[in-house]
Amino acid sequence: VIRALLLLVVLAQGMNDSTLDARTREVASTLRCPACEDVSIEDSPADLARDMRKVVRQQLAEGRTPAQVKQYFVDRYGAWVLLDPAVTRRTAPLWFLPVFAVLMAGAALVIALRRWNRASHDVRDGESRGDANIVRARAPPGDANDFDELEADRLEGKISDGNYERLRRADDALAPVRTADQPPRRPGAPKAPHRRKGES
Amino acid sequence: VRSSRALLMLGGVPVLALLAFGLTRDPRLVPSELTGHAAPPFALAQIGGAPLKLADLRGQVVLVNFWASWCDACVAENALFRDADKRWRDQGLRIVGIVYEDDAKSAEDWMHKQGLVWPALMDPGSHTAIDYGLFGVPETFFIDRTGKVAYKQTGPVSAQVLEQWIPRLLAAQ
Repeated sequence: VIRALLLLVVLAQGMNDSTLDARTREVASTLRCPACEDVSIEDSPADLARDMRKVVRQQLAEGRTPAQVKQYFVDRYGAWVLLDPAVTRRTAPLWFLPVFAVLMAGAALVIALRRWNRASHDVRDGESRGDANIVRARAPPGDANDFDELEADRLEGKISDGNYERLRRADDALAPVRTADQPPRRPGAPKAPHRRKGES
Repeated sequence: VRSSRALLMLGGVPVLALLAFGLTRDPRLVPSELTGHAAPPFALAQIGGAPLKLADLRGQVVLVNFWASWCDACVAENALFRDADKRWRDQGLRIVGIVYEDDAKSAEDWMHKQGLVWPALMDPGSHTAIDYGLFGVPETFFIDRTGKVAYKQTGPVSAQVLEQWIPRLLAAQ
């Protein structure tokens, strides 16, 4: 009977130890090793990490909860010691700034891809229709006759819609430097007498 | 174009500002949580002397210096501690060394070699080091006359740090 009781005590002690070891590992894996770079005290071979694991085990054996043990280390090392810090006012940027940065980077990437896609599509269109030379050889924008030719080219399919729009925008950008007697004329509008600077 | 510029300003500027701020900081320096709080008590065996309690030094300004015989950076600050001990001991300064992750024999040899004249305490299991939130050695805690941690120096102390803190703490009651 005594032997059986002793065996039960030993078995119970063994179970307690293995449970305590598991709880120690669980808590230790959440605490950052102060002597290492981003490694938990559970995974670190450093002497200080080993001693911290012993403190964790001792405190759990004394009846402290895992939260109380973590708080003991936070009180000494700060929230830094937690590998997974709680969301507080001080730690909020740690959690939300990366998400914000990823969202911004994603948005910038989408915009850049769209532009790149549109530009390459226009170039492909233009080259496939053989109008690249036409676009390059075209006279500087601002001349109403050029618009007529441009419109005609576009209607005949010699120039792509994309290149047509690009030339139109370039003309709009130069609009402020036009003289008053050379108002910009939109394609399709009735032709005005074409005068150049110095003509009367 | 305007929307992408606004996006760049909204997302890029805060992130760049944060990175720029980060470059001005040393990531290895973490402020002590103990500053402004009561220094953790200890009662440790002294190399070549009687056990020492922090409570025995209450009412004096105490520098608790963690060191080890294998720590090269600890050598340089010893000359400064010797000067500080001579200069301010009569006014109530006490320096206490706590040996970190080292054996008593190596620590004792090093003490004699370095000419340490203040107590050196052994800290088995680094319990006191962990109680002080130690990251490594050398680290020094400046404790005022009321027993509160006034300042923590990570790395070797400098003459400027000693000059800045010790007279101020000695003057305070």
